[in-house]
Amino acid sequence: MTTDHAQPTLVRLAATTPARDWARLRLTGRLDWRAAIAEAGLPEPLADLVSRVVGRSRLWRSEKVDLAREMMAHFADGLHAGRTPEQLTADFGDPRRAGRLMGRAKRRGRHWAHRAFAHTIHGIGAVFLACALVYALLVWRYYTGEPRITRNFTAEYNSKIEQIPEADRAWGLYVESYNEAEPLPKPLEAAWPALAPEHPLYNDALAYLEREQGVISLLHRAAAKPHLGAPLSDTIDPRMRQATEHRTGPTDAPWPEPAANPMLVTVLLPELGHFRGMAKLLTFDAHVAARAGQAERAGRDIDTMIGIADHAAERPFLISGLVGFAIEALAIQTTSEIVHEFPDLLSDQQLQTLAHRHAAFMGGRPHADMTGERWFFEDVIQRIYTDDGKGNGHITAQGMHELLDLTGPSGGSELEVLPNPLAPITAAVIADRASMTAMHERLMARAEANTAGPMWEYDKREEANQQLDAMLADPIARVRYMPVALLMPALDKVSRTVESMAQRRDGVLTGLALELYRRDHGGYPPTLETLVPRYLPEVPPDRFTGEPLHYRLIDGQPRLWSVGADRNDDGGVAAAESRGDEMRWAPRETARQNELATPQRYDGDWVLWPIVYEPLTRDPRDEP
Amino acid sequence: MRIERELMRGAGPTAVLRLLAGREMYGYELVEALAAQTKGVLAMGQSTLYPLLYNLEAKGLIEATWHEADSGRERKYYRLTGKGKKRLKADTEQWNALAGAMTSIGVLNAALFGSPAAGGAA
Repeated sequence: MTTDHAQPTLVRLAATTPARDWARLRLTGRLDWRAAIAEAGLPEPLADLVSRVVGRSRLWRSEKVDLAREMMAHFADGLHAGRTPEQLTADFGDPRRAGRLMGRAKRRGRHWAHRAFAHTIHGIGAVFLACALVYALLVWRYYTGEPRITRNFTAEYNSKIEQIPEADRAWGLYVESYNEAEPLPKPLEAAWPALAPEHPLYNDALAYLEREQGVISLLHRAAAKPHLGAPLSDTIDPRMRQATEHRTGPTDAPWPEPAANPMLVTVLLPELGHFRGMAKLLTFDAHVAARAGQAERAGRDIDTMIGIADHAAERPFLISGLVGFAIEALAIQTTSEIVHEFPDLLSDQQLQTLAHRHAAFMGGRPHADMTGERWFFEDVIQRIYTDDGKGNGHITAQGMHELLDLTGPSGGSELEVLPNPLAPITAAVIADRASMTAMHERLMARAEANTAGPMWEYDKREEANQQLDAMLADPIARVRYMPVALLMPALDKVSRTVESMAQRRDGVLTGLALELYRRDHGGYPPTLETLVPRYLPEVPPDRFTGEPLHYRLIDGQPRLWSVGADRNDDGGVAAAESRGDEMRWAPRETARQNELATPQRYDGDWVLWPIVYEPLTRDPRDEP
Repeated sequence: MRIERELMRGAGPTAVLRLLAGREMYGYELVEALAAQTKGVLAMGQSTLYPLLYNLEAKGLIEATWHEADSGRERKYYRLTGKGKKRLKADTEQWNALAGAMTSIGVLNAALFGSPAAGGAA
């Protein structure tokens, strides 16, 4: 007989007293089923059997008490009938199974609300367990996967550069020009390079220009080379160290060693900033030369600007092409300004040479080279995804870090604010390698198709970025295709920039043709068709409408224009407060609304020739 | 003779309902009655009987009450509910139909079991 429960402690008594008895201030211990068994006086084997059965039932205390009472009554009846404890124990069956079955059966008899609650708790538990299992799987997958980097895009690019003969590479001369160039004096920055002789700092500018003549000579030599020939690296060319430190301040830090296989998006393009600065130096030099009647020098400066523009655009990166466009646009503007202000300065031969040089910019076809953008993407993908050898894989922990690095220290990325434990889940949301690549390729193909079409067809097509914008509007998709969103350029703007470049190029070629015609015939032609075919192969189209460019003589001077974004002919008059809006394409309806709402900015034509030179005669910061 | 578990699962509840149709009974009494009245064929251990009783109770076919017996001991007595009576009637009809079918194909001995239609209901 069990005796260990015969005298329950006060704590146990309190714990096994139902609330109803508590309310009556009576410690009954009525729910203490062990005590009940002990008090029943059953032989020990039977008392033990009842304990085991009840203990396995997983019932509430009140139910256990009831079950214990019934079992004890059962065995008491058996003993009364003359059965021995051993016989009763043997007849009973497996107590563990009995306890389990009795408990289950009794629970079925509970109130439906209790059962519903229990089922809910079980359901939640099951869901939680399933989630925990899935999460464990995701964690394992996330932390065990490793990217396999198979391509070194930097090395591949550089091996092609090394195949270019040293004599054909301009990069060494550009490095020399970088090292010799004196940073633009601070006072000149605001007006540079459009300083008129009346400007109070003009003489300072001339002095600076004089000091930079050696640099300009280097630029002339460099721009005449057929190739830029600059290798790619994630560090600045060590030959530029001294000049760089001179500009940015000395540093004690060791000059960083280039990585063997740097992430392509981290490579530096130091030439671009230098080229932009040098293009401005050259345009100022060209204007100074023109004022001094130095035709050879002015023409050579413009020629050098075109050469630099071509070199800037030589690398297959979009940003390189766009900087090339900007420099070529400055070269076109400089050409127009000088020809307009000094109509007889440049020789016929110089005008023809400039026409040919402008026509040959970017191989005669201004375009956006997407090769580098594809490399960027492919390189990032190989660094963040696993590779199953069949074009698919999943994002890795290392890859996620690379992605965060790409967004920058305060890139505002959704990923950045995620706590680490959520990273495996986020990684599971991000599209797999094959889907990501397919999405990128789809958008890039659309972008390329769009850049191939003329601007006057834009109204008929879906904007290149519409699909990307729609995708990014969905927060899940934004995370799912984050690498695409990060690396996809603003494609619609790119295609417009390409078209604008083509329009400017057509403008300068037509303008130079008009000038050559004037020299041959003593006056400008009545129509542009007169120029064809001797001076122009055909009349270029207005990129906004597809119709021929507009032309007329105003006070004996030629004016060439596109109708601009508003698509209507304003007689070659630019908007009253032109800020370049007339040359920025907008959907026809948007452009109409802009014109109605802000006519002073939008109601006007895009004048392509002459691009009127308006040199600054004072510091714009001095204006009221 | 041991009855297969699947057969027992069908027969046991009906047998218990049938025993309780006459009067209320307590657990040990049911164990004894099942063994005696079926010559041991439907004898079931307590580990089987009590879960069966609790299931029938959960379904509302039987109900239980504690009584003090003449001996002075407390016992839990089970009796049939109205719902239980209906279930017993339906089960009996099914068992009769089953027995008739088994007899007609020679599984059951017609001489021993007679016409299925002769079987009594609760």
